[in-house]
Parts: sequence; structure tokens; C-alpha cells
Amino acid sequence: MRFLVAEDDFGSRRLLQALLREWGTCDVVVDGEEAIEAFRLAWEETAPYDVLFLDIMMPRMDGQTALKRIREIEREIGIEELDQVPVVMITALEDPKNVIEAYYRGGAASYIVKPVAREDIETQLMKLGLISG
Amino acid sequence: MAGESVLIVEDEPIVVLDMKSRLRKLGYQVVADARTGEEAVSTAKELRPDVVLMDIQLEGEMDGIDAAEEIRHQIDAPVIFVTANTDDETRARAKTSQASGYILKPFNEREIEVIIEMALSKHQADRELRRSREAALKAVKAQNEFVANMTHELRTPLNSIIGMAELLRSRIQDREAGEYLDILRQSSTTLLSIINGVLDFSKVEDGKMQRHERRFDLPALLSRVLDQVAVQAANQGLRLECELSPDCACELWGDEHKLQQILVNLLSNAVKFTEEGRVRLVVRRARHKGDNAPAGESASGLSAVSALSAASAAPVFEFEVSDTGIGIPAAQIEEVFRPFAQMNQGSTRKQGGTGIGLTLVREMVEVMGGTIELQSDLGAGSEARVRLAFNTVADPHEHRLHAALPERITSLHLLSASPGRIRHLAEWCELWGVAFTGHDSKEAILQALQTARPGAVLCLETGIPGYEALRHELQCGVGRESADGAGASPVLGVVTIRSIERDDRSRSFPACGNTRSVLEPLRVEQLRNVLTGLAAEHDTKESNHDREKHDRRSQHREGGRNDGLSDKAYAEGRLLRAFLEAAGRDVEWLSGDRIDSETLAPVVKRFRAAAENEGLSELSEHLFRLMIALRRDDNQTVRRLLQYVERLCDEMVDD
Repeated sequence: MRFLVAEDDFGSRRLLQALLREWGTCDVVVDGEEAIEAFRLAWEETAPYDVLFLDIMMPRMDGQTALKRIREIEREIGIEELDQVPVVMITALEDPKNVIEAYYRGGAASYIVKPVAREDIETQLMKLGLISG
Repeated sequence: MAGESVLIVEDEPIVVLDMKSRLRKLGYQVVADARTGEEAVSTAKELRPDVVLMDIQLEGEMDGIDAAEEIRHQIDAPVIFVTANTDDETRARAKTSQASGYILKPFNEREIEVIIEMALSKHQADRELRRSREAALKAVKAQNEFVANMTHELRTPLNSIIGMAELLRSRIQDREAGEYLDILRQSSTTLLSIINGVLDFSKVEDGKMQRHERRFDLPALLSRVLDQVAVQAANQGLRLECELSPDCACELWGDEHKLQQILVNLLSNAVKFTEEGRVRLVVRRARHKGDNAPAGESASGLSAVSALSAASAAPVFEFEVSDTGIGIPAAQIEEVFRPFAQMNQGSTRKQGGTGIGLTLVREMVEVMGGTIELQSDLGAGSEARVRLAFNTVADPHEHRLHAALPERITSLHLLSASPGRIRHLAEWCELWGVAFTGHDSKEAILQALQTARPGAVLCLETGIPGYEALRHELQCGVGRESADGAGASPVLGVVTIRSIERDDRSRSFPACGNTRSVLEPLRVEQLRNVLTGLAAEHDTKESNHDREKHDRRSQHREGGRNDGLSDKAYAEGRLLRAFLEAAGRDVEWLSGDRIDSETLAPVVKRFRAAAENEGLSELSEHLFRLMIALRRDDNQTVRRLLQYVERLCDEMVDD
């Protein structure tokens, strides 16, 4: 599996990278703008990501905005709604406003509240049908 | 009127009788009458009337105004003056005595009723206000106590997290596991300082912040301070500089902990709000009035110094933290000291934080009896200047510092981007009687080496523009030729100045004698020891030269890398070097505006794949981001990442 992680905190980034290694390879970027570009690059190289993990609070461009842009790009290149890449939002605050926004407007698959544990990721990947229990 | 109880204080019996009958008619209950002030106070204490009608002129020591004061103090009842006396002085005294009413004799029933009712209701409202204020103060106090207790509770487990991570660190050989532990330690230290900040803040709110003075070593404190911010600065590709005046390299008496927090707060703020460039800490003795002040020094600054030193008779030290960051709009300079203020909010805010850092800094500076000034140009950086008086502790090592260097060292050549550093080293060399030249470019220092006498020592500040290229040339043996053409290098050794401690595998300069590194802040004692050590090593090496050469050769044959480096680190070093070669290391990445992304992109891509294959995740991550930044024409990020890769390479052993 190929993952993309967008997370500005160094430690959290390394943690996700180390955890995700169990299930596949992982590219990491530090803000929403870089995430969009990485998403584009993956499509150009015909090796799109299987899951995106986006931190909500990031410099330059936050996770919400990046998610919306990514959905736009998907529409532009003619991807059906069913084939959209699953996106897991990561947040330090259990803030319903942010999470609801991501769910309904951006089409996030789900969210994880920090601190991220191995089980959280496993659960998400199982829910997405990417791994079996 | 609900039959409130009234105490009448009046020395004229006829007036008392008249008042009693009128008040009763109005429905009040007259509980007693008193003739003198003293009697009034004791009766009021005993009977606790709802309201007191008080004549001002009374027989005896205590007049009505004094008695009213005492009654209000004792039983908190409203007092209304009833008097025929209307002279200005009495009226003024009555006004300031917080009387609840004032009525002139003779009065009619309606008047007295209105005044009593108003006094009662106003008094009631005042009492409620006072009570809720007291309750609020109590609640704040309780909350502060709660925060203080809570932070203590949080600190306890955190201390063992940090402590255990440290213990484990020394036992971990695996590079990746070691890196995870470093992150663990770094993050928990960050958490600890946030908690400490909150704790200090609750002390400020409670007015409990105190000074704890003891003897401390200023350069050692500065090392710890820089250590705390160095990693963050390095991650952002910032240069972290420190200039310590020679006359500040000493032991002081004062609140070490607060000074450390002040500096860490200011420096981490500076790092937080700077995207590109440098953060600098300058420590010097503040000049007094009458000394030669440099042009541009503000008059207010000087008077602040004289006021400070006059107050304490101790020397004043100036700590200046400057950055090349985003700056603060002039209108918001005062604002940033307010608690919980952050310049931008929302989910794209770049800088985290609790918003109490600068509030704390100002409080601590004030508790320590110092001053703080903040200057800023929006977009051009900020400068914070803290002045604090400290008594110096006589330094027993001082005579050693003045002692001459070993004769073998003939000159010191410094490459530094910082004029302050050049000035300080020049002062020290003068003290030691050694020739000194300071340079800010690669070309100039190479030139200086061409004409240097044998016994020269090179002192290089790592990470400055031109450093990499110079290092490359020195390793190719440029330093080998001496002025007299004898073939031996004039360079006795190299001292590198680093702002961050990496493993001991500092990069060496085989063509230039031994390499030593010193950490920021550069201390006179430290430098002197390193130089003395270099000279001694050189002497030993001379005598053991042949044997050593032989030893080294056989070591090399036996498998070369016996320096404890893992294969991975070796692979990383090799890959990094190859990458920098392929990307064209002579290109002035750091200053050039034009980045040739078309040439660079495929190189980055190739090496990213290689790094991925070798399992070098950190390097792979950076090269991936470099690919992304090149595609986005984000030159700032490209430069920063290249700089980072270059530094990574610089930290690796190359042979």
C-alpha cells in the first residue's frame, strides 16, 4: 500500500511513518500545499496513494483546505466519487466543528484524535477494507 | 418600610425625643439613642441596628464623623449624618467618610424617609457587590492553586519519562531506535517547558513569583539555553548564532533559572517566527553613561542602564535576541506582552504555543529588577533587549585565561559571518599575544592561509555560506602548501564552531592537522583549552608520526570502518556525498536566486529512490519534499532543504 502523510510536527510525522511501515510505504510532507502537489505527482506517475493522512492544523495550508482541493482535482481528472482516495484526518483537538466540516464538505473517510496509536490506524485501515482483521 | 431598627446618636435630648416620635410614626423601630461617639460605637456593636442617624458635633473625644467610621468598620451598617452644621470643612470630611447620606436639620418626615430608604438599599447593593468580588477573587485564587497543583502532578510522571528516555539513550546502539528516543526526549522536554510556563504563569497571577539567587556560570547557562533551541532552529534551516563578550565569560550571582527561561522563551519565539536567515543571541556588559557609546545607541537605553546599576551597584548585562523573521507591527508591540495573545489564529497558524511566553518574560525581568525593550520592523525581524544586573563572582581561573598560548601556535585565522565574533576573538588573541585575522569569505581565508607561517590555526564557523565550499577545498589539500614552499602545511589544526552537538564523529580536515570542535557559545576558556590541546597533539604526532602512519594503514586494511559507525550511516554518508556531487555542489544554492529545477529534479528523484532502497528514511523524506518543492517552484523551501541535506552531509564522517 502507498500512504501519504501531511503533518507539520516532526515527532508526529516520524511516529506515523514508523507505524505505517507495517502495511506499506509512506511519503511525508509538512503542509497542505505540499500534500496537493504530492497527490498530483502520484497520479502523474500512475501510482496514486491508497490512503491520505492529513493533519488538520498545518502551516501555509490546513488539512481541510487541502482535502477540498484534492477532491476538486479528482473531479477534474474524472474520478468517480466511489473511487476517491480515502482520507483520514488527524487532529489534536476533539473539535466537532472541524471534524464535521471534513466529513460533510470534504468527504473525509474518518478521523483520528492525537495521540495516534497503532490500533487507531489498524482500525481505520480495516474499516476502509484495505486490510482484513 | 419593614420596621428597620434605627440607632440615634444625638447629644440634645429634645432633638432625640422629636426624632424618635417622627421615626416611629414612619414605622421605624428606634432601638436606642446615644449621646457620645464612644457610646454610639459600643451600642451599635451590641444592638447591630440596620441604620444609624448620626449628629456630627458630639460631646467628648470622638465626633460623629469618627464614630461613623468606626461603626462602619465594626458592624458594616449605613450611617446618615443629621446635622445643622454646614461649614465647608465638616462637609468635606463627611464626604470622604463614605457616609450613606447627609441631611440638614431641621428636616421633614418625607425627607428622612427617602434618605433612610436610599441608604438602606444602596448599602445592600454595595454589600452584594463586595461579596461577589470577594467570591470571584477566591475563585481565581482557587483556580490558580488548582493549576499549580495540577502542573505539579503533570510534572511528576513527565520527569520519569524524560529521565528514562535519557537512561535508555545511552544503552541504545540502533540508529533508528536512538532517533526515536531523541524525539521522545525532545517532545517531553517541550511538554515540560509548557507545563513550567503554565506553572510560572499561575504564580504571576497569584503574585507569588520570587527570586531564587545562587551562583552560576554564565557561559554554561548559555550553552544549555542554545541546546534547547538548536534542534528546532536546525530543522528550520536557521543559523543560530551566539556572541559572548570576553568580559561576560564569568560566574555570576543571581536567579539562574529565571534568566534561562527568559532567554529560552525569547530565542524559541525568535526561531518560531523566523522562516529564513538567522537567530542571534548577543551577551555583553551594558555601557554606562559617560562610556563611549556607539552611534545609534538610544539615550533612553543608556539612562535605563544607569538607573539599573545605580539601584543595585552591580554590573548590568545586556542580552539581545534578534532574528530575521516576520516581525511585529508597531501597533502590536505592546500587545504581544498581553497573556494569551497570538498574532494569528486559525487552523493554518504556523506557530503553536500557549501565548504566555512573553508575558512571563516581562514578569520575570521585572521580578529580577531588570528592563526589557522590544523593537521590530514588520517583515524585517525583531530585536528584544533585556538588561539585568548581576553581581560577578571572583573568577579563580582568570589568571589562566590570560596565560599565553603554546608557542607553537603562531596565528589564528577565523572564518565567520558574524562581526561580533571576529571582534571577540581579536580581543582574546590580543590577550594571548597571538596574531589574528578574521574573514567573512572563503576566498579571503584561503588567501590568508597562503601567506600564513607554520603553526597557524583555522577557526571555522559551520553552517555559514561558503563553509561547505571551503571545507571541500581544504580537503582537496589547498591548505597543504606553505608560504616557504617547504611542502608541509602551515596549518596546525582546525577548530570548528558549532551551534549544535552531533555525535563525536565531527568532520575532519586531514590536510590541515587535527580537527576539534567547540560548541556555541564560544568561551574563552574552552577555546584556550582546545588550542593548547591541538598544539600538544601536534607535538605527540610529530614524534609518533611514522608509527602512527603504519598503524593507520594496517587498520585500514583490517576493514577500515572501526569507528563504531553502522553500515547504514556509512551508506548515508556515501549517498549524500554522491548526491551533492551530482547536484553540483559548487552551485551557490544558498544565495543564488535561480534554481535550475530541470537539471536538479531528475537527480533528486534518482537519489530519493536510492535512499528509499537503502532504508534511509530521513534522507528519503527530505529528498521527497525537495521533489515536491521543485515542482512547485517553491525556491525558499528548495534552498532550505538543500541546506539541510548539505548540513546532514557535513555531520557525517567522510572517511
